[in-house]
Amino acid sequence: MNTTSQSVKTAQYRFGRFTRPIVLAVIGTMKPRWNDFDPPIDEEVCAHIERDFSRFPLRAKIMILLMFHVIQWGGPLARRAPVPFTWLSPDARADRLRGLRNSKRQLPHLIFKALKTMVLIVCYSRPSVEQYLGLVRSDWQMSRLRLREQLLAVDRKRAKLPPTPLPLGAADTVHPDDILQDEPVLLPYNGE
Amino acid sequence: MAIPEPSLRIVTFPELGQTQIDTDVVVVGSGAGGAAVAAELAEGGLKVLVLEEGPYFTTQDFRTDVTNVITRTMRDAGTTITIGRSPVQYLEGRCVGGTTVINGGMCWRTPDKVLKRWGMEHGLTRLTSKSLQPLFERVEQRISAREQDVGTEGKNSLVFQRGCEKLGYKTVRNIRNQVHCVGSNDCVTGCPTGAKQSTAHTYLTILCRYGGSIVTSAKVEKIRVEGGKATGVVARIQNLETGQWDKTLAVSAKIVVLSCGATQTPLLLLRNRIGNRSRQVGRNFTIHPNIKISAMFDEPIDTMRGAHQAFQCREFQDEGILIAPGGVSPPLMSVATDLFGAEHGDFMLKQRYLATGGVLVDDFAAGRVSLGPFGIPLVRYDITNADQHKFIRGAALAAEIYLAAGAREVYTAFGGVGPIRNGDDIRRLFLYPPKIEHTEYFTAHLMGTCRMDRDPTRGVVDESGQSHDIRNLFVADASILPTPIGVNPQETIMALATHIAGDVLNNWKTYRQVAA
Repeated sequence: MNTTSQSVKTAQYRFGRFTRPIVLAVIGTMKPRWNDFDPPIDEEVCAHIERDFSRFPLRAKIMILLMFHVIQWGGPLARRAPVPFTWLSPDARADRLRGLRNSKRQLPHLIFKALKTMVLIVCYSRPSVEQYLGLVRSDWQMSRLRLREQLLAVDRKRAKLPPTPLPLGAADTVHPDDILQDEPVLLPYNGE
Repeated sequence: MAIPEPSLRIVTFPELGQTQIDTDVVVVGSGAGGAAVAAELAEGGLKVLVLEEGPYFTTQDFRTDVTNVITRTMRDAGTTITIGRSPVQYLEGRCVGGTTVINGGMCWRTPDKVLKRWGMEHGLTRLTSKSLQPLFERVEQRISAREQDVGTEGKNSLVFQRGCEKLGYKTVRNIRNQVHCVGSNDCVTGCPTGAKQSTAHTYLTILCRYGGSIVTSAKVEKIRVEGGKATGVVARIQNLETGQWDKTLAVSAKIVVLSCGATQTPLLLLRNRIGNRSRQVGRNFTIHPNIKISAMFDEPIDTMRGAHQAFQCREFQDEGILIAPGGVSPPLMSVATDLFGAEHGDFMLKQRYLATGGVLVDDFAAGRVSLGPFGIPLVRYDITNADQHKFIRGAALAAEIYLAAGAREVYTAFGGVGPIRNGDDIRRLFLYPPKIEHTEYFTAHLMGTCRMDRDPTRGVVDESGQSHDIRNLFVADASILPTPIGVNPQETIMALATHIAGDVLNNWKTYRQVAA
């Protein structure tokens, strides 16, 4: 019986030299920061976005690349700003993103939502940010894992439970291994 | 002591030496429908092979960062979205266990009124509460459906229940397929403690115990049909070393069962141009959409600590509105607001005080899954004005619940609508109804698209799950549900798959003769 995990081995993808500065500029503008802590996670977040990007389907990849270049060149092309996104000051970049967010049209708002989702989930998964917020997810998971191991150990010590379905909400639990040890119960199927 | 991993017989490239396999039954997909039908048939004595498009992940694989799980376990790396008036993000699992690996694990029997409607409108007179009761019981036993252990619900669920109690609204404790869920609240990114009993832990373990196997990274492209009957499938196999889909596997089977889910099953039929004499393949697509609600409290809520969802408010079920808490981890919570930069940092400093939930509505809309130019899948769905009215009412009710529980402010998924602080703000929702285009929707409950109907002109499969057009071709997944069911669909899918497996076993002699 096989219980090892599987995944496709892929080389670390890197955005091209025209795209990467745009991605880093978006990350620098969107990443969370506080008065006493400006997390130096831009490169780390970019590497994670590149990893995620490599797993996207082709049509999503094309849309995302287009989206970054719309951010970069949208201002000059729409004659709303004289320079591309990466040339702007940090405050002006934030204003540009706020413009997308507050747009009454659906497409700019969708672009903003996609950027926000891609950047912020990764930012808040970074260990330095988790530690600053006092919410280290891996520590929480490990503490839960230990608790569950204890509960399962208690279950194993209990008397064997009946193979029939327990009433919903019953306090006792049955472990799947225990179910499997019993003879299979075949229902009398009625075709008609 | 370590948490036990499921014992599965998984075959993949390069271990897969053969390019041709003969079996009794080939099941395409290992989610709620596929795994259930495969396990029941294997236990009934048939030789069963399951083909799964995605790879296999162990419990340990889910103890990693959120996007790493999302991009590996979900279809299109979690980028799936409907097109329409307001795009709806939807999630589908693409791994061994399918969507049961990334769902909240809610287990509800199909409501009686829904089954009656199926009988009246779709001629499904064998699917009654009475006839399905033993099947529901069987499913619940198999997947360990039970209430959350007391004390692990988490404050996110408890404040919601407190609000409902104060207003006198009926709540129910959730039944979920879990064994000692300890509230790590990572259901939607794969259970890191192994508590959630996805089909990898339950049905697929039973399948393998009775001699069945699972071939992973196998994408079925062709359904073989000869003389009006299905005779097998052809799949492309992915080489995990190179990522290339460079090997072909042909499976000959007496029976073919499609369980690829409500978007992929119709696409497979459409690509093969079969089973669509009724012109219903891909139509009648419903999604049980939801919107997110969050509420700021003065007391710490810590949504990360506790069950994803321990209660549901059923007071408004007859109106087609389901309100429930829904906890998520901080990375996923971070996208709940449109802030960014320093403002977002300030927001997340307060996130310990934020409770999260959602409003789900029974949708009137009927979308469509079809093939676009160059075979690109098109998933079209338009929220209707009637559904939006229900969302507005649901959001108002959820705001009332959270305010009654002591929330300072309630935030909705309606763009341009500020925080709700009192009754005036709630009334404003009705006076100035938010537009569909400015609302963020989400779903993981996709249904319809190959509906079950006794009439071959109105449905794709009959009451046994068999195609009206192709003999020995079955569908057992969410696509066969004829109407929205108003509750989480996992148990309904499993019960219908068990019903289909029962019919196959009872009539196996006939199917075998047809195949011969």
